[in-house]
Amino acid sequence: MELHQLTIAQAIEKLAKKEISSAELTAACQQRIQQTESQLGSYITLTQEAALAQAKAVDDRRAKGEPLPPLAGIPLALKDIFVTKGVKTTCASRILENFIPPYDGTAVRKLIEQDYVLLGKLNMDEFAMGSSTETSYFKKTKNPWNLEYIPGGSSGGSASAVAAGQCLGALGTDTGGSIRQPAALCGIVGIKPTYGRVSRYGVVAFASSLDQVGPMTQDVRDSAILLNTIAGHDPLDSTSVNRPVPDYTQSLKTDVKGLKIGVPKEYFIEGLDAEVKKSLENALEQYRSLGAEIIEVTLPHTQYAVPTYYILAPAEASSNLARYDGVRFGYRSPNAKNLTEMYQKSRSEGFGPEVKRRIMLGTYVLSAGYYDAYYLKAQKVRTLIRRDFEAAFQQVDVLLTPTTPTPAFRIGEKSDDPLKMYLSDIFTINVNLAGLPGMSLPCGLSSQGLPIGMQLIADYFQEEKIFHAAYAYEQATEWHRKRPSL
Amino acid sequence: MIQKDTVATIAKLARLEFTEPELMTFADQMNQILGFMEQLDGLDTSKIEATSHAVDIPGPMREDRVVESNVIESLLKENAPDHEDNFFRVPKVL
Amino acid sequence: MSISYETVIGLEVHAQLKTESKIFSAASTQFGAPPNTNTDPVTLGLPGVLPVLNMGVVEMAIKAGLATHCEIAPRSIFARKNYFYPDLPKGYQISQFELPICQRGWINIKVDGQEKKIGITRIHLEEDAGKLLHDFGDSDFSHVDLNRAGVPLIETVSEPDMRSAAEASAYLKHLRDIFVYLGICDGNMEEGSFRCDANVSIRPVGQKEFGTRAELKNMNSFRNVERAIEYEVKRQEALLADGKVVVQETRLWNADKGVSESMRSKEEANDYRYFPDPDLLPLIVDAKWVERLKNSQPELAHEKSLRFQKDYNIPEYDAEVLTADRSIAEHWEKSVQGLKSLEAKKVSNLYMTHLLKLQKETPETFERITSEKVIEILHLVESGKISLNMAKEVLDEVAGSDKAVADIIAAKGFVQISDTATLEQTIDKVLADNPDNLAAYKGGKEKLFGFFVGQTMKALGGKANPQVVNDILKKKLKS
Ligand SMILES: [Mg+2]
Ligand SMILES: [Zn+2]
Repeated sequence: MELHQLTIAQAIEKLAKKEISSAELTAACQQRIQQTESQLGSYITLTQEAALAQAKAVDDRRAKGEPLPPLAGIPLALKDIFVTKGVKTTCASRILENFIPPYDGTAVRKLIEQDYVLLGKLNMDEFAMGSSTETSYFKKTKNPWNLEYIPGGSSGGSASAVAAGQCLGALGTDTGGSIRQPAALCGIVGIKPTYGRVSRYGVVAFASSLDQVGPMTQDVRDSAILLNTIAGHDPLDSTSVNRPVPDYTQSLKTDVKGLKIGVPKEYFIEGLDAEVKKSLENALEQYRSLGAEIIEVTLPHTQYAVPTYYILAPAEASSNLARYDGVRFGYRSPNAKNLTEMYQKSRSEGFGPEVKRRIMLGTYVLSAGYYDAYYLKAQKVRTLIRRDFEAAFQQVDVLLTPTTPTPAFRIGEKSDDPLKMYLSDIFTINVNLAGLPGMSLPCGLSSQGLPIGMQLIADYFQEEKIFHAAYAYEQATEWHRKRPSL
Repeated sequence: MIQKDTVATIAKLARLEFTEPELMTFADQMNQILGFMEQLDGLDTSKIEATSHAVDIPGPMREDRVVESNVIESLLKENAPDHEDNFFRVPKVL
Repeated sequence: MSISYETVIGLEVHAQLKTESKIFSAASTQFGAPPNTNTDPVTLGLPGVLPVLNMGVVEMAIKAGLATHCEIAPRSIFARKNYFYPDLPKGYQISQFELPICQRGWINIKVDGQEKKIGITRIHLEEDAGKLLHDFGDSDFSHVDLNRAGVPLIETVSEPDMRSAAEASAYLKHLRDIFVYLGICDGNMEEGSFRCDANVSIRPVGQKEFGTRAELKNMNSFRNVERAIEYEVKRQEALLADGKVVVQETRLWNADKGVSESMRSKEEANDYRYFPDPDLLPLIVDAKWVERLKNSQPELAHEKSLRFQKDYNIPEYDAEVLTADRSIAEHWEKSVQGLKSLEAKKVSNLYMTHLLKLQKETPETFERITSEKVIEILHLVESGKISLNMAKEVLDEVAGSDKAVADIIAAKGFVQISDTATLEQTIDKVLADNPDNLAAYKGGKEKLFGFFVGQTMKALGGKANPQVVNDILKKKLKS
């Protein structure tokens, strides 16, 4: 096995035993990037020299016998939505093309405190608005399983990089499925924790009441390791919840006897791809054979999730993106002759079409005369969607659903039809609306060789149940070992 | 149905500018999306409370204490599109 | 015959709260810092930042609410008010919209001896915007200073209960006194820490419905608030007399020209798209907290003034002057309580004629004049050792140095002559030296009494005890 293919857990062990050095590991990832990046386009920014220097510093300290934190010297990468002090943070937008943040966000700071190695910043949909990483101002990221296909989005660069071994793991963000959907389409593990579990401070905001940070990794154990590091209360984020963080690796058990798994019938709809459906059925069978109890449940308001989301998320986004005005940082149009033009031209030239579309939608649904009909209505439907889940979790420990209705689609296939694109998030969005934790993990490959993912959802702050169920399944199957032949 | 001039008004509010054809496209797309949202109309939500936050806890508060920050220097130097002395500079506000 | 109109005024008052740090971040609020130095990532609205509410701000708002008889909301909500302006870093102002922290209060005002209750609709929390400089550096540009951005404000919205510029001004002054007394705002209108907008309309006397109102802004003194309202009432009356209508608009008061000017052209119909701020969870204020603050509320100026009149038997005027400033009121009361026989009125005279002046002219050194020092000096007056006039000079010295009172008195040679024999001798000489005036006095020119007192004092270098001089003179002149 080559070094860049190591899981985080394996690398931690080898580093501790001094079988490898962090510099070797980092160099291996960088070599892999060099080899594949022109095909994949996963990264926006590479921090080559800094990464090697960080790795060497850790190696020196290890050689001196200094005690080191678990993630010391592990090469990871960040979606370019994470604010990184001194390292360009673009959010895949022209408006932040040259933005160099003067501060670090909380999740990043926690990684820094662990002495991780930052390989670079990963491509994404512009301001995380998209499901295919096609709306990036800089480049389109390809799916490492098939370069003609999208990697999913918005954390598509993260998913592609992890799947291709360009980094050992990555952080993404998930507002409507942006971690889970690309994880599914690239055959990796991605978890969106409970809203409030991980600080949002220093994460460029898309839709504040929905955004959540999470790890994207090769397997479930790595997911638990990274979540251990980044989870926890942050006094700088008012919506972060002050609640102890359990050691998620303690939940990695293979015995699921008596575990109640709910299957919401509303997810097995017409548009569901036959191969995805088959993979899910196989997974259920697997769980049954492991001793879990499968129970059909109902989430009656599922069909309303997409319209609800596409009112609430753009509304919040329209306000969150008002700060990109060309005054203090970011792009200012050289063509502006007065203040009004400074605003209009900077924003019109700085934002791409999808971002503008959502700002327009959001502005519209909040504007006088429409607020009640759209925004307030959607917030009420959000309550109904939450209640669906609350009822379901009276009966079961976790819910199991497909992550996406189909495997990855072709580049360009949906980019001219926003509504069609929005519907590709149909199975992930309501988890954000409810604020629940959800994980996608690999559960199959299509006949075309494209990954298929399944989603585990648990009640608030019950990530442990997800890790438990996911690990048991993973250990019983081989899907997580499959790698693209790139 | 949203007309082109409504789109233009919204654009103004959002400080975005569009060409005529762009306005037409946006009007079409917005109508399509808003039409899709109409399915919410069928739900009776008259007795349902709105959810504006995914967490149901009181907002935290911090002590009234100053923490020094010196980000302004690098922000002005590395990021401000235009500045004069310690000020951000914008075209004259009339 | 012309119709007579009634004026209807409601005020919106923004008061900056005297916290150390900003409402949603730990940046300093210190006045006068170099441009943009009171900033941090949150103040600057950088990508990724989040607001966290300052508890001190909430406490001050509750104090304001309690002092104005408001209900304190157990749960209130922060909302975003969306608009673009270079002094507004995030493109929205965090404010309170649907559920403010305080509602349904009132305060009493007094105009021409008449008390009147003015309703307060709400007091809500919000952040201030930054400042734009239009005449700095290159004149083709405006310059943005964000030091003030994020400074906590409370906005107090009154009911449209005022009927004249005088009532509006009285309300505004009273509200300011309350906030200053509470120690939550420094009340400085010129520096903008206390700002007022006025909604003014007129209606024919007897009509129930309100007329169309204009919103007046940019009045940075009490005087200007009155002038602007008076001007606005005349303007609206003239419009109606001409058969025209009043348009709803915002008008800026131009103090130099003494007129208000329409802002309409600048401000196209705004749509603020208020919605609950997803970054801030509901503000929950528990009843115990409110109770605790209620118990620690200071006595306010008005109550204090009534109590001073009653407990110390001083005139209303004196009581109002003394209580206008909380620190002076407390200073005075402590002094009075430390004295045995000196009348409170005499002490209030000393404060009003002398100490208030010292406090105003030399605030830096006024701190040296503690109540303890005042008591020490006034004890000497009580015992007849020095005169009140000498006391004033001693107080000046106390402010000017760290010398002990006894040393100052010794150095000045301040000893009051109360010895009857010496005084009689001197008075006899004064009377003998001025036979004409003595004759005139006896002939009925009683005003000359003061002349004899003055001559006696002069002869003794001002050190005579005036009370004793008066007594002896009265006796001698009668005979
Ligand atoms: Mg107002
Ligand atoms: Zn206000």
